[in-house]
Amino acid sequence: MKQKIFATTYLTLFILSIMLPTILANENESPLLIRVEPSYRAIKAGETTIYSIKVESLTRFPQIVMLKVNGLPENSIGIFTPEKGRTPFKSKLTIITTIQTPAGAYEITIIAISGDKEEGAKTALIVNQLETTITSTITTSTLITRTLYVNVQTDKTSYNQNETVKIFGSVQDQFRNPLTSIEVSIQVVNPSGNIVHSALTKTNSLGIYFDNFTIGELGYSIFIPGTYTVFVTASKEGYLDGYAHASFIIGEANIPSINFVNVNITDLNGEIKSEFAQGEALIIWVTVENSGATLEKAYVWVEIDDPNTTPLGVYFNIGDLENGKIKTIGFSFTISANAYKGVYVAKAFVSNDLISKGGKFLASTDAVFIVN
Amino acid sequence: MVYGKQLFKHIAFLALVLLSISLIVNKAYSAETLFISASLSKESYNAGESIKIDGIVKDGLGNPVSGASISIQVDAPSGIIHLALVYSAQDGTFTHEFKIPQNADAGTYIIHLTASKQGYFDATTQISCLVVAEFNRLTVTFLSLTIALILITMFKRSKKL
Repeated sequence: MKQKIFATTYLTLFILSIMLPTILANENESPLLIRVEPSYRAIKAGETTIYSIKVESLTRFPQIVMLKVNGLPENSIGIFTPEKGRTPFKSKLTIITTIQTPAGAYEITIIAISGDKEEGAKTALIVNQLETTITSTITTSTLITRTLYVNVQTDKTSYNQNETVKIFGSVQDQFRNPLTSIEVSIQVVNPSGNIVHSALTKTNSLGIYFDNFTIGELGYSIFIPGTYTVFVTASKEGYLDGYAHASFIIGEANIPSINFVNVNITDLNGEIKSEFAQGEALIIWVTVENSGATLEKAYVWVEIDDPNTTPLGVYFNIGDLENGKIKTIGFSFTISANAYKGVYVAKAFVSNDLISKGGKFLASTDAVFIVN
Repeated sequence: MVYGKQLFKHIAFLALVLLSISLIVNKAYSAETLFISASLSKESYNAGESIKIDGIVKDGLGNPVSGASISIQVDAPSGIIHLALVYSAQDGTFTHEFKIPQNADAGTYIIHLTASKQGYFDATTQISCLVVAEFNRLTVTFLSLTIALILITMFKRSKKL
């Protein structure tokens, strides 16, 4: 009898331990957990510092999460490596200050965003006044025209009818600073090319925008399964418009639906970094997911641009991207000994063929790193 | 006679239906075809200079198509040097600018473009330009100076004589 009670209690506790995180993570609470270490860092103006971030999901289901930072001092930039990922994942935030960065204590908030849910974690940055002469400074990018950089993401890559599609993304300037109150136009196009949802929204104080719609309310009597594309356009006076697209599937798709899961930059030992020295070698790890039909002989590309937006090299890998599979490919690159110092951009693309053979890019993203 | 009249009416009705169908199909086909055109501001560039591509995407009826994605691949004589993905604006136009590396090869550069939009057939085009390398420019300058010096010397000698 005692054994029976013990077994029942044990079984109940076991089931509860599995169910509890899901029960606790109700609709109104954020299902994300974000941790940042250390609790503070102290540097001198002109120096660089790194924080470690861990993002987990409180539900049993992995989520695509985008990271943003708030509270950075003036004349400094923050780079996440990677900037987005599928839970659970680790990231690093590198904060680069310049000699113009004002001294002071700053409360830094790191925000994890997924769908319309966000969760923050706080840390501190103490910037002390510079005592010695700085021998090296970061050169800023000299772009030909001011351009808006926009990205777009959906909370999932596959939906059923009557489900809500959560669209979110961010708008940044060429220095990757978030831009607030930017007008963002969103259009969702069905497999036949018809617009099934359109919205106009603005970025919030973190440079983030949100939108959502329910698939059952598309307004089209004939429901078409397949690949849907989300197009976004960000506009601001004095800037060139920024454009981006992402895709998702409803039901089954007969064409590929490619999305980038993340782009990680590491040194040759696999250590995630966002700051490198002249002459150093690095690896750009590109992770892509195909939720649509299998794409045979897919081209996964990486182009690296220097701080003057000059392309330094184009690399590609050919292979199948199977339906429902995630694939990670690494591209190695050596920074030249006399390379410019500043912000470098690693642009990643996926195409169905060479563009010179009539192919087209199905997805694109980018990641940045610093040469100091 | 009455039977003949009825037959004529039926044939005329059928012909009208077939004509309407062909017109609809033709219109639908035209509207589903994309057309892309692109141009460069110059025919020749120096290494280190910026190349600006301007273009427009239209449908089969000549209407501008907005939100079309334009995939760009730039081929130098030694291989692919640049990739880009841009989108057409409200008026169907698009623009893209990139810098030619300082150490770029001299020769003909071919820019391949593919325009695509869901519900339309893809369209492709290519444009080309000449890139003069830094070394060639120096060589041209050196040769021009040498020729100028020779001409000045010859002119001075002829004056003395």
